[in-house]
Amino acid sequence: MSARLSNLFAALVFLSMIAALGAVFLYVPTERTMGLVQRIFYFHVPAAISAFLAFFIVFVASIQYLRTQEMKWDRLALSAAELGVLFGLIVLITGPIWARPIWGVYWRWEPRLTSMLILFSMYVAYLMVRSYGTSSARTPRLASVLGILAFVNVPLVYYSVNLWAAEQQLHPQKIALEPPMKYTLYICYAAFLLFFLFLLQRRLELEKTADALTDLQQQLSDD
Amino acid sequence: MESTFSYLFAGYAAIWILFFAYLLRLRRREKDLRQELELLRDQVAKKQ
Amino acid sequence: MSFFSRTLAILRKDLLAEWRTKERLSPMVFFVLLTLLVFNFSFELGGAALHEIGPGVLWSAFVFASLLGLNRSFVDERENGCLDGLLLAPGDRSAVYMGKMLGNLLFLLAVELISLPFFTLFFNLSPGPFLLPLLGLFLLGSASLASVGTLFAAMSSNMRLRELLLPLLLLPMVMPALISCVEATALVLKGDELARIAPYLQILTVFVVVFTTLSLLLFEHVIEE
Repeated sequence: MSARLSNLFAALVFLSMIAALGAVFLYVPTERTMGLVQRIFYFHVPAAISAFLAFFIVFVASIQYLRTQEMKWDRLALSAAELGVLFGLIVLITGPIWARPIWGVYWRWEPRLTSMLILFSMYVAYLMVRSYGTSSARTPRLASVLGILAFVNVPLVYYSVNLWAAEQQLHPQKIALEPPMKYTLYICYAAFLLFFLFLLQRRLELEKTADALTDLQQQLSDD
Repeated sequence: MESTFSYLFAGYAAIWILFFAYLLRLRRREKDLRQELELLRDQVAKKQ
Repeated sequence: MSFFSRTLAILRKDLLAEWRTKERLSPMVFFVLLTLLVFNFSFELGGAALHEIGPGVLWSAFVFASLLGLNRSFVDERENGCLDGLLLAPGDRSAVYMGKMLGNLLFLLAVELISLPFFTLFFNLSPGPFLLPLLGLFLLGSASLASVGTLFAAMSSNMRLRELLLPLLLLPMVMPALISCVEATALVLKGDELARIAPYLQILTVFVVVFTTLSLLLFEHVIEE
């Protein structure tokens, strides 16, 4: 990506975030039952969606890597996995912060948070496989296998946790959305998507450079 | 209802801290890579 | 050799080796018993508490024991160079997975069956009415653990910190199966609402089928040198 284009993109990302924050703090009215803290919702939910998008990308990239053996897919899988963990962490931190004044406790074994915790663990394990792999040739293949299994597991995780949580106490999480809230949420979705793509692109560039560097070093040492 | 503002603040602070931490990490690694690239260029130049 | 006969050959080899040395089964059983003991002192496992915590304790013990057993299923092969031999033999690599997976499954089942009398003994249960559904759950649960566990054991056997990595890989992945086993076991032990275990059985069956199939397909990527 040319420098001019990437600066333009960065500016766009920045502006969209400003717009999102403006909508969240200045535009949308305070929700009746939960008060001010409910505004976390507008970032909490897009973060969750972003995490899912990331996990899906890991899935597709992993399949493609196993099919084509092209490193670009492996770089994509790794970058997306990191972002998935990052956004998942945001969900897992903002969730309890939101919960504390509302439910009185930081954590409840509530289906969405619990499922996200399990997903988060799977992709943290993915990143660990990356770090603890011994060979640069095999690790991408192992990670790809994990990337496929983890995503296939997602519906199973949600289904089983929802079944289980029905046995426990369940706090309803459906918030009725009036138009200003809907628009704010959509703006935040857009801002998060752009930010996600921005981070992904930068992470990919970094990994590409790192790979090129390693190749160069190997060439030099071969001479 | 007593103000839940401090929680709101904590929530958004956490989000931005995480974002910036990740961005800083990216920048640091980019810098390290660039340094290594320079070292490599010097090595290549010396060889020739 | 066909896939089927290769699978059986590997299974037979593992079972014979175990029969001679009993080096996997004994520690696993002992581990389960010790875990039950530890849990007994951590919680008060008598009476009403049993139905709430018992199934969780039981399946936690099984999962931890499975980690011990799974680790061994590939480490020995690697250390003795057998793995290369197995892989060099002509034919389908995935038969190695299937054979190992069935071996792990049988070992787990054996451990569970041996532990069950102790569980009922320590916690004053009468197994009679729910023995059959319980055995069915043991089978499905063990199959779930063995399906991904075997794949992950192969994966981690070639990495640093393999004993640490295997639980980190297995535990999150196996959560849907674990949740289902625990909840279904609780329902079975209660005895009155057996129809309610149906959705959990669904999850377990889907888990076993999906992950065994995926592991079969993806095994060659994991085991390649």
